[in-house]
Amino acid sequence: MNQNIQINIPIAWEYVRLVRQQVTAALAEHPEELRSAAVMVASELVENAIKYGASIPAMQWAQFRFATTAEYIQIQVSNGLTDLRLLEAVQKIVKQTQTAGASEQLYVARLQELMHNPTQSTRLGLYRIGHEGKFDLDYSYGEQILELTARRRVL
Amino acid sequence: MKAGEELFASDRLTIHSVSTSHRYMLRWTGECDFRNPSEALGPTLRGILPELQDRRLVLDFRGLTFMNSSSVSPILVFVKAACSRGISVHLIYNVNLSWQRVTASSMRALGHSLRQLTVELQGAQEAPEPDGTPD
Repeated sequence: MNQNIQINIPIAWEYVRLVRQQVTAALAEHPEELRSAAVMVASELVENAIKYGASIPAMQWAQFRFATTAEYIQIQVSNGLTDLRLLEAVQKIVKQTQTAGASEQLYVARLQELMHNPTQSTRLGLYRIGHEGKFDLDYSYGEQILELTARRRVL
Repeated sequence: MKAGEELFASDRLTIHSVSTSHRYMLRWTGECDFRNPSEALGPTLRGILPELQDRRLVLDFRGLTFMNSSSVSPILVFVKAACSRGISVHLIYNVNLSWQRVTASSMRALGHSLRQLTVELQGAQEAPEPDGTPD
């Protein structure tokens, strides 16, 4: 059964759990591996939006969209973003994850970096989406709005 | 398995410690989804290091139902700090949870650079028994 969820998210941490609950419920009939992966992906993207997103006139809240069909699951999170250094970091990671077969190598390399040089901003979530979640990641940016799209075939 | 001493309880995460003369085990249960996990977990984990002495450190994550990626960093720092003191560190993940299986695989890959680190997949944790039961 096709399902769609859309949630406008205030920049508040407790909404991450709301999103996880909704995705878990929406995928209750799916295998544990797929459900767990989608919950993780949704959570990581919403966490990033809340941590790094900015409230701008065109988008005061972050927006979460979830759609599932018989063929795929798609998760999209949009938020205002005014820090171009953050945008560059996101662009770089997304392009890295689009290299076929590199997801585990990228994830472990980032773990190594964090172990030797821990930072407040781990930037691990986007790598995790590709590696652990097996979702393809893409982004768009315009008019100070960043939209990240994670998509995985169900079959 | 003993229930152990409650070492950390905040929000949805609880960490119990079960120590013997040769082993110091931390059993994680619940969800680890702090916004600032280094602030939340760091003091507790740093406080454990002097207590380890030369005992083996076991981190049992099987009772965790969710962990966000931000929480990985303070755990990595803790594991590295223990390994750098010559302490062997053993990580246990739940074979029945797909995300834990993937995490275990990634942590095994880290073991190439941390020789004291070992990783194991096991079934779900047994229900804890009251303190005083042999572990």
